[in-house]
Amino acid sequence: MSQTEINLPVSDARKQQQEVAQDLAEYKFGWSDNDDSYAFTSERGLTKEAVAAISERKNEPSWMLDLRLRAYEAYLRRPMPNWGSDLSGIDFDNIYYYVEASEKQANTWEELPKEILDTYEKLGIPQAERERLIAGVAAQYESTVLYHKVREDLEQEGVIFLDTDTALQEHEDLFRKYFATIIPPNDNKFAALNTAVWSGGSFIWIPEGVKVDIPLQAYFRINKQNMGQFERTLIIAEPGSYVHYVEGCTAPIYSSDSLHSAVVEILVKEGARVRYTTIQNWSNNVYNLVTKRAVAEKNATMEWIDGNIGSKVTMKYPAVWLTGEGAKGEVLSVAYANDGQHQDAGAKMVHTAPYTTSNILSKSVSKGHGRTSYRGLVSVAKGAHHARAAVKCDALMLDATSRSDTYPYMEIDQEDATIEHEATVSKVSDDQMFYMQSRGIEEDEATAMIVRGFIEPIARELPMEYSVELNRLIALEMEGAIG
Amino acid sequence: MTTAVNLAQLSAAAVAEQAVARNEPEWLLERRNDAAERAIVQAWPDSRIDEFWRSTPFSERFSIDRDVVGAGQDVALALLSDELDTPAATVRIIDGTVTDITIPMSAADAGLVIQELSEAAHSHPELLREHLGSLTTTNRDGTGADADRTVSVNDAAWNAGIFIHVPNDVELDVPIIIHFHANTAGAHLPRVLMVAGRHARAEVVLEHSSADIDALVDEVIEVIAQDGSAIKFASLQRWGTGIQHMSLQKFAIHRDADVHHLAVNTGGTTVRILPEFDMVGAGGSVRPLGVYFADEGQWFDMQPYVRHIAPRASSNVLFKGALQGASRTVFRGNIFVGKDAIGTATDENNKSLILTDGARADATPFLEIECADITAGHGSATGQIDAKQLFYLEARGIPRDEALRLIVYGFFRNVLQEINLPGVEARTLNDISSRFEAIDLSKVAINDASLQDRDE
Repeated sequence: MSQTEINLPVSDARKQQQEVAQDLAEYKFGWSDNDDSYAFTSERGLTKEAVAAISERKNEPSWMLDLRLRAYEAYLRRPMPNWGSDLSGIDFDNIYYYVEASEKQANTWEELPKEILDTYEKLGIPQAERERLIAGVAAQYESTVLYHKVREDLEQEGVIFLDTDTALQEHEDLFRKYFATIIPPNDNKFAALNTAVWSGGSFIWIPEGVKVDIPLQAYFRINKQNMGQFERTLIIAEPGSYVHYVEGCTAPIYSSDSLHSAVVEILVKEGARVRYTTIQNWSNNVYNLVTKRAVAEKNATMEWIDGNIGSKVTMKYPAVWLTGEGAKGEVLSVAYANDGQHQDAGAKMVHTAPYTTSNILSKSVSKGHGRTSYRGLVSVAKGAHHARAAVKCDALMLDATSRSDTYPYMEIDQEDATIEHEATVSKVSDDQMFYMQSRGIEEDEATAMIVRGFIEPIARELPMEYSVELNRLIALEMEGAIG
Repeated sequence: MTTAVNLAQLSAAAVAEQAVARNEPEWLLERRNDAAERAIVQAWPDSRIDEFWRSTPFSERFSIDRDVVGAGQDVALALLSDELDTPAATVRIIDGTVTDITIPMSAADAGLVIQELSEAAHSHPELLREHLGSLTTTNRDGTGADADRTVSVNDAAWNAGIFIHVPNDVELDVPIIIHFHANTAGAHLPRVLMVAGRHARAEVVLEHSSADIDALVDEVIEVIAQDGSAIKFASLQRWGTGIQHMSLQKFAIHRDADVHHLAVNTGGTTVRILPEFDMVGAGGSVRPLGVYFADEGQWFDMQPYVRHIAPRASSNVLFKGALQGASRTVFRGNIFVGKDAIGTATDENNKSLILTDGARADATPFLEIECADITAGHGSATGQIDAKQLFYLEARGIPRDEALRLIVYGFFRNVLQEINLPGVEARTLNDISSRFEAIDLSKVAINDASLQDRDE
């Protein structure tokens, strides 16, 4: 009997999904650049001298050197967290704390080295630029920002959008006024480490009343084996202003463990609004230990939109300190943990002023041996009357071997605060699967659809191209979800 | 007369001396000795390091440098059992002495055993050897209690122990009411072991009271609910001021067994209750309930912990508390669902009512889930008396003070009625209202959000 090939009609959507998954499989796993093109690499491991050398190399003012050294002392002093995830796999002595990709900062795409340009082509940055979807690109290649472009009209409005190193050189007074004021150098061990060795990141200052109507965007990548990336981002929104900052991270796979420990500080002044969106897709060997905190003053609004897909371990709890009357904080968080991954993510809302409101929505998906943990804090200090807080965490577990934890902390010190918390844990139900399959949708596609539906409340808050990317990444992670 | 044992400097020799004086059998002596040796090398809890002590600063709220209180003298008490119209099996413990055990004829005939633990070590050695310490020294998921020195010292040096055995298929027609009264300053180490046989049925109320003395009560209760048994167990903390109480109340819930547990905190200075439930048999169910009313200077830490180890068990945690004055409550719930616990159904809820300025309520309802094939949820809410409810009552001519009291009553009543143990509801509401009515009711915070919504 001869073999007959049966060509079943495949839906366009399905075909498209397969293509996208194919593309992404290449971009995520298939490439890494030649190591020889690095301009400057610090020794592995961290010493006082190494910290000083970074500062000298960057030609920094002495106060920054002092701050770095103080932070280094704090880093040595502060204990490793004994909660959350297992961090014993980090070999601090085997990490490059500072790596520079090339000597000069480029001004146009054409000036970039071809290798780096290729990388960005793969990441899709020029397309985004061409399509004018983004206002400015601070593309960070390893530790030094290479390319910077802010649209001219933004510059005319007085918006400062620079890499953090350049900002220190060009706007020292402004920089010094705010740097490390929201997250002090000794805040925690990893914030201290970042303050000691920080390099790169974005510096944004929005003048009073200016509303930036298109997202500012930056891409970060780790590309050297065993290198740490310690970028530092500082955003100051003057009264009545608005900005949406978007940050995305991808990294190719390497075999030995890598550390990413960023610090993001945001000050949202009276009546201003800042939205900070991150989609992180670190490779599966990266420890992603990030401190993010915003201060929202009177009637200000701070929104964190946080997507954690890759990494080996993520510990990240974007925080909003609601210090002004009527301030509003929001965190939307989505986490996806696959085999060998632990996403310990959440949010912190600290209410210290009256009539403040906060809202946390967390969605997590765990698959295979993956583990997701929601860990969050809502704290209402005395005097923060009429504070309102709502927390909702939903977890979806795709396999019998997955794990999901919920650790919400609520500390209420004020008699008329209203705090609500709810959480659900579920799996893809037989009913849902039956419904989909009886309509001719295959099992793995049905699962992917359910996952997409599950994270939809967060995906719809993302800028369009990020929403697409999130869905693609999820689709990729979902491949072979049903064994 | 033996020498007093200091809790902070507990030694194996001192523990042995006490046990010999009580004429305990050799095997029990050995166990006490093992526990003492374990305790000596353990550190006291450090709230900066130990996750389970994070919520209550151990060194601030508990002092352990105290002599263990030995024999006590009988005093007149207003006992819960005296207030009931119906008969009950009763136990009275004053300090380190069991002063009275009374079992109605019908229950004794059915086979109910209530004895001092030291005595039961001779009369029921098999049951005691199997079960005493079985829940404090077993680490089923790496979080067992024997890593905690406060439990180890009780394992080593408990006194005034009570053993309760409800044999297979015995359905008790009377409740068991245990009254523990602390009358002397120092450290008290009460212990209860209860074994409910297959398809047994029992109701237990454990009432704690004290004189206004400076004392530490480090208590361990173990309850084994064997296949198909049904147990209702309420622990009332009606302490006077000055009491620091920590209590591990741990249940093993076997196949198809059903446990209702209620913890009521109204008295004491610092009270930390750990109702823990190991779901070791398929199809078991547990309903952990809590009611607490914290007043000026009080600190209550409630830590219900359910470990789903076996499949198809269910748990539903509900704790409700109200606070007034400078008081602090902590709800630290934990639901663990292991890999094999397929078909688990679990829910966890905490509700706090903050009545006046200065109180603080912490809520941490945790979930740790290793098995996808389950249903789980949890929630917590912290709020105030709802203006809409108050308006409803006042509009019907009920004076404001009375209306406030009704709302607070109503908040707790469904929990108390659910477990429905004799005398517990009346006694608890009475205790709560006497404290609530002592404050200036015009200072009670009212949440008018529900009225504002209507205006819009």
